[in-house]
Amino acid sequence: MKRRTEKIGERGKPPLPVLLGTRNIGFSRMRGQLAPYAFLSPTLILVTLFFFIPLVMVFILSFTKLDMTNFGILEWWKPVNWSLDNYVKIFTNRFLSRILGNTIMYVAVTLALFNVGMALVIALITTHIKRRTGFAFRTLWFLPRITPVVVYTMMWRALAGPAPMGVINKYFLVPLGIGGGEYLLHTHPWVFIFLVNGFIGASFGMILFASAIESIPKDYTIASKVDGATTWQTIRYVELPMIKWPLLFVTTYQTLSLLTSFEQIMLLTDGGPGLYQTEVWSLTAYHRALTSYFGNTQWGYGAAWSVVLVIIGVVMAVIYLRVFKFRELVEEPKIDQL
Amino acid sequence: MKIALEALNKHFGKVKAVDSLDLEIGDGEFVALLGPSGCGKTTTLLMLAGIYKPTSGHICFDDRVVNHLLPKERNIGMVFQSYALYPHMTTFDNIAYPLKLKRVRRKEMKERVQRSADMMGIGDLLDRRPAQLSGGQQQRVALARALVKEPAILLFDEPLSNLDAKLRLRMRGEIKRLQEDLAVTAVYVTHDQVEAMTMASRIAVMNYGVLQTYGAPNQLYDHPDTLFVAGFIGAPPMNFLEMTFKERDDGFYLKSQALEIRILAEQGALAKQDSIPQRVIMGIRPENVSIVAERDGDFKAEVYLIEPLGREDLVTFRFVDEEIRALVSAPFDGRIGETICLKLDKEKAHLFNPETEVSVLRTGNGRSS
Ligand SMILES: Nc1ncnc2c1ncn2[C@@H]1O[C@H](COP(=O)(O)OP(=O)(O)O)[C@@H](O)[C@H]1O
Ligand SMILES: [Mg+2]
Repeated sequence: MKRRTEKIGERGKPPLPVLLGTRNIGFSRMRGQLAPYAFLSPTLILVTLFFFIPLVMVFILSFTKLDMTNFGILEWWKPVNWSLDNYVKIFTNRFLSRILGNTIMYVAVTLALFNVGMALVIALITTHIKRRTGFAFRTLWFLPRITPVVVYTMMWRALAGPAPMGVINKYFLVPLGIGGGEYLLHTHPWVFIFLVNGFIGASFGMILFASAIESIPKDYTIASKVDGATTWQTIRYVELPMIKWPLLFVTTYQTLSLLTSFEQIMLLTDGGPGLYQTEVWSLTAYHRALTSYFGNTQWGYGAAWSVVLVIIGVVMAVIYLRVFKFRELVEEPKIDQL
Repeated sequence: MKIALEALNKHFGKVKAVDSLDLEIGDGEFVALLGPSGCGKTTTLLMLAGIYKPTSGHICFDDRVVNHLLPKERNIGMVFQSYALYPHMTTFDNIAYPLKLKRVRRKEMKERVQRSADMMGIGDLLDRRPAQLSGGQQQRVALARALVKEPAILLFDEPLSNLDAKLRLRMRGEIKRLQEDLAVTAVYVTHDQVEAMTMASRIAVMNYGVLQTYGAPNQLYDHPDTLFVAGFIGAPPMNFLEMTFKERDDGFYLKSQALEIRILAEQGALAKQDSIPQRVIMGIRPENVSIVAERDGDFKAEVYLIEPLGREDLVTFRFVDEEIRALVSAPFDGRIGETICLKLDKEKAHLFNPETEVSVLRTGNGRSS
């Protein structure tokens, strides 16, 4: 106990050797400087190992021609082997406009209709009905998210199957005389891509919006109604402006998630059925880097596609912050009198 | 606008938030709903506003049943304890909100917002956001917003509770004056009996959702109907002593271990009719307890605590196992521990039946037990 008080009292000065013993001096001094890093080290190591190093490597790789054929031969880490060729190749690719168009459509439609749009609608409905009913309904909406993605996507493939097997064809379209019972993933691939992603994506925004709406103090909605507003006007003028933050967050976060997500599309159509018909940017990066028609996986070229995607994502995030007037949200108060 | 509540009930599950409430409020009257936290004041107000649907009973505005009317059809202005100013709107937009919903034309809207902001003395703060205003300013904006649509009824839900003491005193006066100038019917919810006493022409005291009494402030102060009202109204609160009631040849007496006092004949006659097992609770306000010379006193007590209030000192006395508080003119020259002779002003004594907690002296217009 005594030692401890001495140490605290003498902070900054060398502790008395008589009291502490020689071995302790070096240790305690070192401990003072290194302790924070020691506590941070598990995270630091993980972040460095699995985030920072890969990031730098991908960036470097994107300037090289590393692929399966020259792996172990090409000294990719040497600047002499770096060039902008991959980027030139991307921007002169004749399918670039189709892939870019697909990506924009995929992100915009899924985001607008489901991840934000449907999420907001469900959140509003379930917070304006009886609490328990609303809660049960929201829980139901979580099922797509907690179902393993492969199982979930396979279920959709089964739903979309051709006439005698596919549920949608057999029970809805054929009885109603719509279509000829074809495989719906071939006839309407985009519809299913939107639905499959949207039903997972909507639950995230829904939970955030619902909890944000529920945490709006009741006085505001009461005041609005007494002021003469209908429920819809109260939502429009009071509740929506008050959940601006979650709206900004979900929009930004889901844009980035959608930009980088390709697993559902891969499992549903793998970019098909037509040539590059449903190929999006992140799927292209995956295809170039890790699968190949010719047996050589082009790691360098794929990395370049990813790097461009990261840049697109950052630009989008900055634009959102501007559009939502982020600065206004964190404005300083100015009170000058009582 | 006249308001009448008839057998109004509001139940939340098993909780009877408001329990068969009958209340009449005259046109242009200022009525306070007074009671401790959780007694159903806000619930009553929200039923008036049309936010809550009554479980049963009627709400009438000018003899018209309005139970089914939506809030927007009731022409009511409301002020909240939290102010409830929309944080994303400027002062102007906040005040203009009721007019915007009514689709008032821009020019007229501007004039009316400016007029009602000027009336509240915040005409120069119209471009501020609520976060950039002080509590007092926010309260004024909330008032301006409630007034801008020229409501037939003003509802206040503890509007001054979040202000500091000095500001509260000032706003109290301003609200009262404003209500008188506009002659608008006002229902003012508060748990602060001083606010209720000073502002309202009549006070409705509630407890556990039940109306305890309804009357003018002085009436409630001088002739409380129930033990609850007697204890709730008045600061510092009334003293209560448990006594036994005795009739002797020379008059009526109240007796406890430490003291015996003779009460007035008419009080005694009423108590005799009412107090069943001869037990009675005597209430006496601190200002009706006085310090006297030994030969005039009713009993002796020891000074326990002296609390200077400025003009007067509040002195707590102890005798046997009881306590009594007296307001004496300052400075009180006694010392703690000193034994002093006290006298009670029997004319001002209140007697309550300990079982029903109803006054045995009640004047007939109160609630009967
Ligand atoms: N929306 C509600 N749901 C359930 N119980 C409620 C609700 N509002 C009020 N209560 C209950 O009704 C009683 C009265 O509440 P309230 O009118 O807010 O009291 P006061 O305004 O007098 O403090 C309390 O017991 C409270 O818990
Ligand atoms: Mg309340």
